[in-house]
Amino acid sequence: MLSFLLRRLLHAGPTLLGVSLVAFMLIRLVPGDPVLLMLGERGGSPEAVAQLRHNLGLDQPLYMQYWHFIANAATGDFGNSVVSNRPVWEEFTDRFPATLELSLVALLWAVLLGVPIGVIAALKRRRWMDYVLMSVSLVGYSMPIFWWGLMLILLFSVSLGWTPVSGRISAAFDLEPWSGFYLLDTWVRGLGWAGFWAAVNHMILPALVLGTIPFAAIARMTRSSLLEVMREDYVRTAKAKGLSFFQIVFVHALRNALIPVVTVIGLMLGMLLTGAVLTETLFSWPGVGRWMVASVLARDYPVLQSGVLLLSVLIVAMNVLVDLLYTWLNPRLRGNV
Amino acid sequence: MVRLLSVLLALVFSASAQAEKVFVYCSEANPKTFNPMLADDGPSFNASSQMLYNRLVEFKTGTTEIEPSLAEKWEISKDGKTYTFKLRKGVKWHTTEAFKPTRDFNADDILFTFHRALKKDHPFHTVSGGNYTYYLGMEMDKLIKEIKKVDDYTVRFTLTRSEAPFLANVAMNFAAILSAEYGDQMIKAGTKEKMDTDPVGTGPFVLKRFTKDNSIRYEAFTDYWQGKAKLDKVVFAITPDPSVRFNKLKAGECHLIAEPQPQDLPQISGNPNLKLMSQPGANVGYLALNVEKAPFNKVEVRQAVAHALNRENYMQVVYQGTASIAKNPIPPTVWGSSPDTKDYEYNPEKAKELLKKAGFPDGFETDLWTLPVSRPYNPNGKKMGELMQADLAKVGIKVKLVTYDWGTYLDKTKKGDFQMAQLGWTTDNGDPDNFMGTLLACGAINASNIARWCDKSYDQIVMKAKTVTDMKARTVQYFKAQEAFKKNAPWVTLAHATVFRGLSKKVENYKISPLGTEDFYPLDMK
Amino acid sequence: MKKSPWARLCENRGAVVSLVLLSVWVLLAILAPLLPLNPPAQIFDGEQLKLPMWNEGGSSRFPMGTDDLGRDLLSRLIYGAQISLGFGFLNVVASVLIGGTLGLTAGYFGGWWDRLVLRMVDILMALPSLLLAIVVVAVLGPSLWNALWAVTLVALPGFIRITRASVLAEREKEYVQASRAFGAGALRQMFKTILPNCMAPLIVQASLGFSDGILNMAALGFLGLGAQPPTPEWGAMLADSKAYMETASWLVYWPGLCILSVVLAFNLLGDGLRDAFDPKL
Repeated sequence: MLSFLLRRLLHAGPTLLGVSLVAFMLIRLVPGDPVLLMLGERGGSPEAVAQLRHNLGLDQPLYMQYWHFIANAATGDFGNSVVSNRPVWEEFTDRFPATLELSLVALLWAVLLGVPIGVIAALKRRRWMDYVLMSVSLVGYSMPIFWWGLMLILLFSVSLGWTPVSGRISAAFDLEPWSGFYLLDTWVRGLGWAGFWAAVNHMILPALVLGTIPFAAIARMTRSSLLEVMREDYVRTAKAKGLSFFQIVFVHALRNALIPVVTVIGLMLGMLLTGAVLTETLFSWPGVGRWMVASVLARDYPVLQSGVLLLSVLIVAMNVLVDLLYTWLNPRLRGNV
Repeated sequence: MVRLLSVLLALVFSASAQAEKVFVYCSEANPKTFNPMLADDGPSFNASSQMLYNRLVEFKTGTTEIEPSLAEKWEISKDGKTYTFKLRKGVKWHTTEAFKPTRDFNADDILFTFHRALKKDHPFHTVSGGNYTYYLGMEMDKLIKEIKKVDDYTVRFTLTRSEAPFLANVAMNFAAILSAEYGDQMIKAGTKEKMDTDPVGTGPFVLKRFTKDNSIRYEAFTDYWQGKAKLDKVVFAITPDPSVRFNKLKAGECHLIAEPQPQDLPQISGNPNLKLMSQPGANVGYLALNVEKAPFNKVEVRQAVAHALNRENYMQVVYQGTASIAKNPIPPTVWGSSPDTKDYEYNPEKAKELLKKAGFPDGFETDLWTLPVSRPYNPNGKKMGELMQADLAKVGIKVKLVTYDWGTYLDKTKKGDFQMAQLGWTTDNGDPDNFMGTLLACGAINASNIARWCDKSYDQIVMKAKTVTDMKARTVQYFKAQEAFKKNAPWVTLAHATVFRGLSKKVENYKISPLGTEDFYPLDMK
Repeated sequence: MKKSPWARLCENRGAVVSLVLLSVWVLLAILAPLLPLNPPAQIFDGEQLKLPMWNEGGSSRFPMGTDDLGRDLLSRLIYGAQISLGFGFLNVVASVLIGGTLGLTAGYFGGWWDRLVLRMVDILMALPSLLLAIVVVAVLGPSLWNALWAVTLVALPGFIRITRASVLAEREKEYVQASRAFGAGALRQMFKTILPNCMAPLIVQASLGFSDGILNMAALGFLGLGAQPPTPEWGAMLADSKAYMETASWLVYWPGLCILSVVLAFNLLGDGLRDAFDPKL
């Protein structure tokens, strides 16, 4: 197991290096002088330009710039945002909990609803129940979520007035983040039920929107995986042995069927981050996705460069974790990954 | 279930609100800075100058009248060149995490503040980019010859010439007074930028926390020299999307919203919990044509654009009838606006003729920058841009619409990176010079003269209008200036818009400022 | 007797429905200039926010009403199909050509080239897809064509992996070995012998790639990074009508439904194709 982990990490290293090179080069491909783009004309006294160029390390040859970028990144220094003048790392850690909390809640309902629906559809294969459930999940899978979000806002916020339209908590609550998870922080900071419900209320629609595609994907995956397993020899043997249908499905088949589903869930992180860009923009959710979009519009290149790198590290780490989990669930594979 | 919860929520909410008066303002954009001298846009001024600082003299809330503030009284010499200010005693500075004041406000602070912007060798001059837009735009660097500390509570400004609007100028947002002691401490600590990010002022509120793209939190300053504000806390909930702001107002999540959209106005006035306030705006929305860039260096092309735009239509579609077509830069609500100006009427045929004359019989391709945020003078830049695009296509000008986020947009327009750009202005001192000089004089190029138009004879007229003190004589000069402006068409003047505010009925004492800024100190809540 | 994949596809109700739906959209998109429609970018002065004809106050001049500027919504939706389907198609063609070639050569030649291609795939997969597209567009500048490149770049890993995997499976089969024994050159082997046998998964991937591409293009349009005004692109139309959610909800319904119907159809078709090629399930 340990050697597997090591091999996997060794493999991840060059990938991350590649990612960092891509992130680095992308920013350098911007037409025009980034310093002049960042400064207005009036900041453009020659000394100020030279100062900023120096601060950003842009007066050095390209390979040195890249070297500094990764060497600093390795020590946790990701540079400063041009817009806020704060370290990118601080800005990232300020916002990441918001994205993580939203993603976890979205994933939670997607799994809790997706797996049972997939199982039911598989058991009722080719019957009306199957068709209905699979149609629903196909629609969910094809959903342009920015439109789906608008529809939900139109119904629940605008027409019925049940849920708020943006943000994480009403502005009247002065919540100083503790963990960054508002569902938790409202208790830690003593805002009580009122604060907690405000946080929940703000969470409902974005989580619903963000979880839609993962839900559909999980339901579809569970169904096909379970159907495949049911055709395997050991299930047939179990049937021949006269085990009850219930036992066959829930004790034997489902366990094996869920192995690929677990993998899919693990790999969903990328999907959630993609969804978070749109969901956060739509609901003014102060997370990483909205931050990146805002940085694109503000041409905040240090943020883009390091933000992309940080998110990629996250995805790669998650992939390693999933691989580990997969081999652990499925010992046959351990030798030859 | 959800409804039950919201009822529950409302109950707990109102119970806690009674204990503390929390006022939530849904603002439209992040402040670019907390130091007013570096700022040049409404959101930054509202968040910094009004909330955190004071000026030597100030505008009485809701008017353009000047009243004493940090200066209790002042004397102006006969030749109009010397201003002596007697300063107020016992004015306290904010105490924050970064700074514990050991002394009250005094003359050193005035010198520190003005010298930072005006003296190139001042230790703070280049800090935070050193963009003193307003100081440059108002030509303060050329105007102020010397500032002298007579004693701890007396300062004397000596000017290079007599300047009629000088007192109004130092009442403006950018002239907010910073703490010299804080500056000294930050020099010692090696963290000069903190002056601008962790502000310390003498104003009615203290900055507690700024979360970018999210909120700014303030608490009332207990030792404020005019007495503690009635509001305990003020929150700016940063909400760029105007439809979201409107929904938040309806839901009671904010008590006042910036720039409601014209199409939402009937709903605000019809809502029993809300009230709609309005005031003819002292503003102008315009389309600047960059005269340094071909083909807009040709006056015929600029006039052609003015003839090609169907502004009547914009009044209906973009402003929903809440604005009037602008023919002058100076709105009719400010004195000095010329009723005799002859406007360019909508006439595509004439536009084509002019283009032919300029050597573009088949038109040309160009960029048009559209405002990324809703402003009082233009609630929807993109929409207006699409209308302009269609109008210009009719005379053969193919337009690509371009936009950036607000901060970048302002920076780049100042730099003259564009060909055509929408922008506008709300006066910040009620003086005609604040339009004709600030926005169109040669000295304001690289600052707020984004069309980069520089006409020597026009400049002389405006300069003369500024140095004479007689209002009638000034008016005559401004009429002349407007004629010259119109003939040269560096802008297409678009609209003077009515300013609207939607607010909760709980809010008391709110007044719309003709100067476009928000002053929350007098507010109270039921 | 073994049925052909086509015959099996025709038995799949979902696939048939999707084919019909797509044919309608494609016909509308191609025939749009011939239909009696108002020009999609024309602004009708004084006709802003007209209701659809089935509402009171609507007129048959604008069957689905007009938008906030006074443009014909029906016309914009139909011309929008040109954009979405057209650019979706270009995206798939580019992905198949580039991704297919990379996957094919990587699988066939193996060695350092294979490792290099795989590493590229790894790197692209480690970047959050829409975010990568957004950054690429930010660098190149917002436009439809730049959005197309960004979306194609994001789609590549899937195509490379699918092609490579099936090439690996085919390479060791007897007929390939045999053709090599007969002295077939590398190019001939790759394109004449192996590729036709890898078409099935590639076709399925292309169908799914269509729906991903259209969704991503619409998302970029929604964020203001894709089509620029006055191009009638569905995602951008949605973004513009957001402000009129309450007063003119029909402006919000239809562009979204159009996106959904096209994406749904391609996903259904993809499912149908997969079942048709692989009748096991």
